[in-house]
Amino acid sequence: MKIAFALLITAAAYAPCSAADNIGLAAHMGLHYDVGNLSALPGAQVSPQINIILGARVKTDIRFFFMQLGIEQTFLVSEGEILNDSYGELKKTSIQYLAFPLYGGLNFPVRDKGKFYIGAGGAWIIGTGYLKSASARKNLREIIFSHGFITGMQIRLTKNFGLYLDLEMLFSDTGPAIDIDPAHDWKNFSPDYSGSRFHCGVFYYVK
Amino acid sequence: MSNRVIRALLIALLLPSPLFAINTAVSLGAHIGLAPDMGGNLQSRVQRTELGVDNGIDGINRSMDGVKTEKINKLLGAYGGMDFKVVFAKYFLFRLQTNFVMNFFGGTGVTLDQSENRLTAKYSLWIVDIPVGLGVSVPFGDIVRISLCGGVAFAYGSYSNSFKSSTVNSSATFETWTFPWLIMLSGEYFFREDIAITTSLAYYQGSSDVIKSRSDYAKIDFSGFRWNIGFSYYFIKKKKKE
Repeated sequence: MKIAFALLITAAAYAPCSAADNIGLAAHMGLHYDVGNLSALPGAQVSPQINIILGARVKTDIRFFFMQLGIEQTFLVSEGEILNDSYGELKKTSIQYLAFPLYGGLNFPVRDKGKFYIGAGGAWIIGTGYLKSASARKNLREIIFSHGFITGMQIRLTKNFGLYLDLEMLFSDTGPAIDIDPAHDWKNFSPDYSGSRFHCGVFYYVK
Repeated sequence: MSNRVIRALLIALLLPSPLFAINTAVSLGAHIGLAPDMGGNLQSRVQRTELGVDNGIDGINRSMDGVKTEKINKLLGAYGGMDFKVVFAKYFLFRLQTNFVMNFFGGTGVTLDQSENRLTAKYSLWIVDIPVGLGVSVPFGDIVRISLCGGVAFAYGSYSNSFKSSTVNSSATFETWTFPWLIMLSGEYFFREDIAITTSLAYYQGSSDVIKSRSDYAKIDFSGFRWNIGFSYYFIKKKKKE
């Protein structure tokens, strides 16, 4: 997957541009609901963690292909909480991250009004925040690679400006970070950065 | 004969009729793609009762100072398949696919068992599925077609796991089938009148009943997202208006 990612970057760098191609800068807000996927923990009644996302991206359209590179920072809206003490000693999560997503895929122009797109890629994520168990608090500081998909719609409002709305699904694996089992000394809970993110933003066409 | 059967027969007879043939296009294609988090958490009885893990591969990783462990990643699958499409009455779509999905990354590593001994865990999964769907397909000019369809798939899977440490020794293979439902969003970009490059994003939902293999019990979860890229060749093309 990392090799495919490197190939995407190389292809983007060497891809020729023509008059019909677009390069755009974009800024968006987003939402990541149920950060950490606490609701998937067996038997757990949870108050899901909610983050908002602020991000920017550069998107290049080359004929029917697109390539986009972005930066995103999440901000905590509400902590995740295990309400029924059902998953070991885990109590609260506050998972935040800085992400550098890169996607490539296909554009489908909707006449001259906009584009629909579907792509695949991934993101380097620098995870921060903390996990709290009944007896400890662990600050997070980890770098992980995640893979995923993106699909969305871009609408051109004026010659230079447009809006976009998209859904990004990321899947990631992390190692254990905190002990939530009082009978052992091991670390056995891994924060999960997987999940769906919604983005809504403004697009500025440089070319 | 019930009304439903009569209606289905009428539609089947109408599809190849001259009236519908005016706006009918038929294509055959091939695709390759990715299927992240294949098999869900791959939970089984041995993991719950002998390893003390309640959520399978999502909770299998444990680490401790002084013991060398290797992270067990969730299964990332790659897949390939064929795609048969009929676009009828201009805006409607019938789709039939065959796919073979197999994990190529993740599923292997070293963790700790309940006695804090090193435990080698291995997971693998392959799936053959045949989804059938109906939906809408909207053309935008002559070069783009965007489709959304839903349906059901016949899915057959084989899930194997193995857990080995100085105190635990278990391996099992589960093979079963079921009918997950699915929804699929796809786009086609036509290079020529009869050839399109395609990409799709699909979501499957469904799992089998719990089955037994040796002393272990598990189900196969076919749920998850899939993305693919490929091409379509339209061997029956929509007739243009004179």
